[in-house]
Amino acid sequence: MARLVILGAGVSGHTAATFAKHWLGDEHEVVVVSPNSKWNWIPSNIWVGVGEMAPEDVVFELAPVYKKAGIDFRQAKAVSIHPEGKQDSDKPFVTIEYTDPAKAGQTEEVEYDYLINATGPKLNFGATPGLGPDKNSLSVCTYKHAAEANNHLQTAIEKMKKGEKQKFLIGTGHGSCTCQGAAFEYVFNVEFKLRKAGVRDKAEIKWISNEQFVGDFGVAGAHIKWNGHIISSKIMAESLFAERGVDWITGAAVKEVQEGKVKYELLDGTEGEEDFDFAMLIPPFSGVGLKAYDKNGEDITSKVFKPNGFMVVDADYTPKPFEEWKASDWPKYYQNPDYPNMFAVGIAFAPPHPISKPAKSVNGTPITPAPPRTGMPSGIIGKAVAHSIVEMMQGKTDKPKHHASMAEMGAACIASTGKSALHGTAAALTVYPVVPDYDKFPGTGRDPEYTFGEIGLAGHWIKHILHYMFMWKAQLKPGWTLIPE
Amino acid sequence: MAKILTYPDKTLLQISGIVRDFNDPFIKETIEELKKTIEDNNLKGLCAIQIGVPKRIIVYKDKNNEFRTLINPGIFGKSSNIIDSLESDESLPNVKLNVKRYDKIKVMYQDIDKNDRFLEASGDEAIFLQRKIDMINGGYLFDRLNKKRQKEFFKSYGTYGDTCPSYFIKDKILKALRITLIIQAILLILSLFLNFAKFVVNYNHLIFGVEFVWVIFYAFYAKYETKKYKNCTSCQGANIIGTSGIYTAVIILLYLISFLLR
Ligand SMILES: Cc1cc2nc3c(=O)[nH]c(=O)nc-3n(C[C@H](O)[C@H](O)[C@H](O)COP(=O)(O)OP(=O)(O)OC[C@H]3O[C@@H](n4cnc5c(N)ncnc54)[C@H](O)[C@@H]3O)c2cc1C
Repeated sequence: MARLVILGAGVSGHTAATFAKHWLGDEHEVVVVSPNSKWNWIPSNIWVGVGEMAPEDVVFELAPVYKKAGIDFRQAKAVSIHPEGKQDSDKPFVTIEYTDPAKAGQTEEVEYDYLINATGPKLNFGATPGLGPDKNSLSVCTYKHAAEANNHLQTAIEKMKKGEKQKFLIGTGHGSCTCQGAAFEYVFNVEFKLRKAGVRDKAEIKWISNEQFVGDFGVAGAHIKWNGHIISSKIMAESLFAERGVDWITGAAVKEVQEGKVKYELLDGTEGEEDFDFAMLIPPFSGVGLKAYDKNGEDITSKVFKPNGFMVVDADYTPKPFEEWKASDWPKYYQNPDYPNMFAVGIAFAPPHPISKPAKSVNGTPITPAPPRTGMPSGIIGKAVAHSIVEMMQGKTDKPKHHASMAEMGAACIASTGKSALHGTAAALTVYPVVPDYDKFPGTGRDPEYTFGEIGLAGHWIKHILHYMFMWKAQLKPGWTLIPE
Repeated sequence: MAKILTYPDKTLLQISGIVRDFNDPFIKETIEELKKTIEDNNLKGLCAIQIGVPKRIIVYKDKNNEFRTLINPGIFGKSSNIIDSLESDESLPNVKLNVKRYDKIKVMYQDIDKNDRFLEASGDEAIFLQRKIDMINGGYLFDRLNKKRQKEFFKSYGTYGDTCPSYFIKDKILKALRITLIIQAILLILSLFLNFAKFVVNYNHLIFGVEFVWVIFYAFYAKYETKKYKNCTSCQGANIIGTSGIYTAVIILLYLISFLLR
């Protein structure tokens, strides 16, 4: 009997764990280590953040689901990886520290035959002074943060009802942020909510982002159907900002968040300030800070992880200028080159470089979105890696066989711009491939024919249906394997 | 001198690609060609896609009447002031449209030696650059109109090339089916109280059969009618199958209800 240990029960880890167990049956063991007792459908946090969904609507308890599936769940956080074992044993293991209230603080060594690191991002609020819910700005990255953001939003609405003006600043809180899509959804959901509450005239709303142009989304722009032809998301986004009366600043690296004030630097080196009553700024992401040690206990963290804390996999990390970036730089199997029984999926793997064209301000401050690894690619990668490992555990192969390069897969993002059954809207943005392949598609590096949506009420309905579909799938309810990632 | 493409030429509808290789002699040739075309036609400026080159290059004459070349330009800043601007464009001859623009913008671009450069533009220059930067991103002037004005524009100017025509027989087939289904649903409710409406329950097999054949006919006809429109969302196979699926589900639902009411 072999053992697969999966660190992290988010989108990619949960997908990998559930499929691996489904395929392996009782012959092999699947262990999941994750610090939270609940699973969270993160995309719907946006709706929690505007009070359109309750936190309970976007989470469920993991333990009963894993129990039913036969997965060994340990509510703990991984601290270190020992891929060579220790002095008296060759068996690789991870050290974990329980967060389960019954065992809080206890540590344990969990041995593995195969390991998947799916620990997602650390929300690195520390990168910008004053950033984050513990300091001067809000977040929607977890359901708890989102619920807190909603409390502030409701207070602001009350103030506006009494005639007070309020200024909303929404976007990214650092020059290297990713996940602009989530902030983009949030700004329009807030705008929609304020209109619904009848206080829109009392609100000034501003978007601040590290993208080089509005609609970049960290992927150098997506495609959208518009008036019967295909345009860049730049035009869609600009039009949406104009139509909904939301002002914007892009090419901005937020340098500091003070109480009620943000200081930022622009691409041209100029500096600016923006006051606010309500600020929701996404933090930059880094790896969760796992350590790695060799057999002798020597620290090999810098060999296993990149300086940003993400795990090294089968990507080409040679530093190259933008014009030499290739689709083949991106990993295919997500396998660590030094320890072939170790994989990293979702946000946890180290990407070789950004997707958007890199930029620095004239003062040298990098202002470039980090490459996003959204839900769909994270799920697809998790499933492909699980498939490879299952076959390796079953002795069918000694190499991973299932590839899922982001330069081979498309992504569809349905961005909500207002939640309502009759008046809601969402924009369907598509890109194929996620990572441009300039050899295959000279020009934009993308296939312009791959597009299916536009903006409208239907998009909203799809987004809402997806919420129920993914909550259903993640709880392994009947037919879950048929629901795509 | 190159030919300036005009609406509804399909090439113009592309999103231009980022210039990556600055040593490619074709980039310099394109810039020279653009300059020549601007001179010969006495224009303010052009972007490469207008002469059929899908690369993010804009060449224009600045305030001092000197040529400026912007490679990979993007707007990263602007004033909060939005103005009405009456515009025309070489690629949309004989059309003048009123669109909204920012009165001041900040542009980041690269020069021919790949250096990052910045530019603040206002007035005519800002408006010109906004129009051209839209074009390299696949956007026409009419993409900046609101839905109502766009409809009027397409009515008077006609739709363009390989895109969605505003009239499809398939939509009429679907509309007729929709109306039928709505009437059927109303009659189903009425049949609880009124005798005359009972026929929707009594003949449910027949009605179901007719509606089902109707959907199949729609699917085949829609596929046939839209074969040539690759860029049109409602013309794609998945959409037609999806629409047919939804209608089939509604028909089955109505059938089940009438079955239960029988
Ligand atoms: C507000 C918001 C909205 C979004 N909306 C969309 C959307 O509409 N569409 C879309 O495609 N994507 C969306 N995304 C992105 C999407 O949520 C992520 O891409 C996806 O969650 C990444 O999956 P992951 O498994 O890599 O990480 P996560 O889902 O974050 O999972 C990481 C897991 O690891 C656990 N973990 C952390 N540290 C440790 C440790 N030391 N040991 C063990 N476990 C650990 C965490 O508790 C968590 O369970 C959104 C993101 C945000 C923040």
